[in-house]
Amino acid sequence: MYAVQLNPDDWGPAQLTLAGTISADGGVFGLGFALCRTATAQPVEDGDLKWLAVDLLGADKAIRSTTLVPALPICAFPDPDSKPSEQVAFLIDSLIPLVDDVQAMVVRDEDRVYLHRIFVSDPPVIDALSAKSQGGDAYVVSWSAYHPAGVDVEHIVMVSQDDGATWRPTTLPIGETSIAVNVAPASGVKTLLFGVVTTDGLNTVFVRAEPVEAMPVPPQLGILTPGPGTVRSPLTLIAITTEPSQLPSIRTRWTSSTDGEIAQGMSTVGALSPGKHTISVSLVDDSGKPVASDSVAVVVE
Amino acid sequence: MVSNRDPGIQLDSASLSRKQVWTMTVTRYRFSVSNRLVRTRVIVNTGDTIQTLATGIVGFGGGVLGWFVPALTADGDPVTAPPDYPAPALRKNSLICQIAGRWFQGGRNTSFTSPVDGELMLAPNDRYPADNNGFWDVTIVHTRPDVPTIGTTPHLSVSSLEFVQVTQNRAGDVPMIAGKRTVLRIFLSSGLGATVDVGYGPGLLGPVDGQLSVRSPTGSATLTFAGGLARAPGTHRRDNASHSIQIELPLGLLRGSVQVDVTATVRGHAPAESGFAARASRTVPFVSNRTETVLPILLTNPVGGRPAPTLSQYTTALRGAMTMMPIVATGVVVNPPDTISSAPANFTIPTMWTALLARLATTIWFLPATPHTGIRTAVVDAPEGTMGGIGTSIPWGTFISRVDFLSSGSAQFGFETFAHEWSHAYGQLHANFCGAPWPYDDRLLSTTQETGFDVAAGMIMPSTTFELMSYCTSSSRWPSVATYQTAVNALR
Repeated sequence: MYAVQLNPDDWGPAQLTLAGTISADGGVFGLGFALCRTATAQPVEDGDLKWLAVDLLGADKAIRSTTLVPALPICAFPDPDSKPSEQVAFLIDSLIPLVDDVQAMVVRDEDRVYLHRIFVSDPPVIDALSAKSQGGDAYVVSWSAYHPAGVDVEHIVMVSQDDGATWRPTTLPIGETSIAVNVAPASGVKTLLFGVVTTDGLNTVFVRAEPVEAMPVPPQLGILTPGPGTVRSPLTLIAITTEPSQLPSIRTRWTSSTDGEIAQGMSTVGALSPGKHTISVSLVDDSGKPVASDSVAVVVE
Repeated sequence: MVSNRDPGIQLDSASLSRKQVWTMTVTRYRFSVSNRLVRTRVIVNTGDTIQTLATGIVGFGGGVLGWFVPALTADGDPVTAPPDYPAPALRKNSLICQIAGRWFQGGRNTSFTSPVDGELMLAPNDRYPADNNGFWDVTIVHTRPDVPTIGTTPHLSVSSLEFVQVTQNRAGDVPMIAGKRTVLRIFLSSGLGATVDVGYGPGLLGPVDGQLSVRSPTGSATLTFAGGLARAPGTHRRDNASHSIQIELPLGLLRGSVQVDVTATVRGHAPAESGFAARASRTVPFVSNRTETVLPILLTNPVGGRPAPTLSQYTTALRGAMTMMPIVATGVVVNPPDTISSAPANFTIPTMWTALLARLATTIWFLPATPHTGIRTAVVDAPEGTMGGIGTSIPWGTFISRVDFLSSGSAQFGFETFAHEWSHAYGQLHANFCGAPWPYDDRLLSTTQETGFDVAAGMIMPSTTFELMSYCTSSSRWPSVATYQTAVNALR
């Protein structure tokens, strides 16, 4: 799972900009970028910029060209000083097969080149990666990184709760090399592994920090249904939780302020007597102690 | 089969008087009818008279080896149609008119008085209209009596039965979603003149008690109602809750073809007593949506010094928005949430919202530990924010919505914001009102134009409610039919 963005600081309606996600893994490019353009000299015509091509270049020629279309224009700049008709933005996300000997990437349309990125063979370098608990669910992850060729690099901070078997993102692609992240370890997790993915767009490296003690944080629970207001019995009861694994139904208990316990399980059905109720759902630990809850007020007709 | 709109030509309109007592409005329209259902946008009230004047010939396919292909006037064949035709009780291959799901005979010179409210539609009474050629040139003469022709004698009737989940139009053709809470609105007509008072107020008759039978492939149920009031024909206002009886239908029955049968009787009168009892039925398909998957992204706000929203805040926003969307809780798959830092986004800078949205929308997660499919639904606690949210459908549904509204006494605004951005994720553009930025959906106005219903709150959402996709926020917003239909289409 690698993904980084290029030039994230270039955003702004006042210039032709390109911010992109270019990464390589398992023989494909993951290419996602937003192209935002402000026409200062002339209004953007409806239908302008109908397609974009991504060319992968070898030593002296294109060895693969992929056309990304159609991309509908969106305008997402609420800048009060800007004129809506002068702004166009495209968001594109695609996987492109990677070819051997690729040396550069060009993103263009019929007559303009928006990005010409030369790839180098040297990968970026990361060192001094560390992770420290800041109390609660907060951790600070710091590292240093550079690229031998001076190419800009970007990073995503990852976390694993199972000794590196699986990883989840804690940031979007960033340029910074120190960041505070929030991680709520699942029940029973004793250590966390933090890692940083760094890429120059083609060459990607992944470095793990030393394990850090997982600070226990109560899981969270939210009621998806019912919502507040009038309901009819029996009614569907659905909750979602931050606990990553399937929970035994006995660990999720639904109660009514009037009728007592009404059901068990994350997705179930309960019957209620007519009148006002506060429906609560609780997540209990192995000893039956509630560790998370949520509630909603309903009136059963 | 249904065209979006056939631009019928309005020929003329005039008010007439007769016997110095009644007045009426007569309007003429002109349409071509050949090989499909024609939507006229002509709204007919109970008691209105529709006259069809048609010329021309339509050639009906289906002949043998090209021979004996019938070419007929709008009167069609002099026999009733087979059972698999749209209107089996009416003449085969003739012009037929539909109002609120009921068919009426049209023709070269035919009239009928509508017993129901609804949009007038025109069609050939043909099993396979697509292979027709030629057309009938149809003039519709729509006569609306401003004073009901029925005066002092009560004549109870059910003028229309309207199913509503979020919004509904007068034609009643907003799709019903299987398993979604639904209200049936029963509009009763008294048959009295608008100025006739028989003891309940001008034009009113009551109290009306009744029974509602609901049948579907999943079972049946019988409900009752009491104390309703019937109004003078043509005086019903859909925005007014007191002009109809509202009954929430049993949720477990709302799948497949759902039929409702209503019987109503003025209290103190026998059901068989002429003028004091009425019956009506309607059958509506309830269609199952595809399942929608969402990926919750709980954004921390380091620059603003705010932690990530809680899962409870997320689900509160999601379920609040679902009241405005054609979706049910059991039809939503919520992937495990990500808690992600929004740094370096500064929510006081509008362009940073755009930049963050772009990052969320374009980041590709390869082989993550948990499913990362579905609409990327990010929430953030950002009371310092200059925007309420931002969303896009490109390259796939992604949006950010603020949750701080939920705890600041503006919960409804928070739900509307989430639903607004969610609609963007389905490709719905803004209504060009109150400063909403381009691009716009030209179909949308500042208000919904049609009456909606908030079922959980048991509340009418009048047609004057601000459109969900506008930036008009001085009072509640609600989806118009067009905005709602965008989501319906996305979920098919």
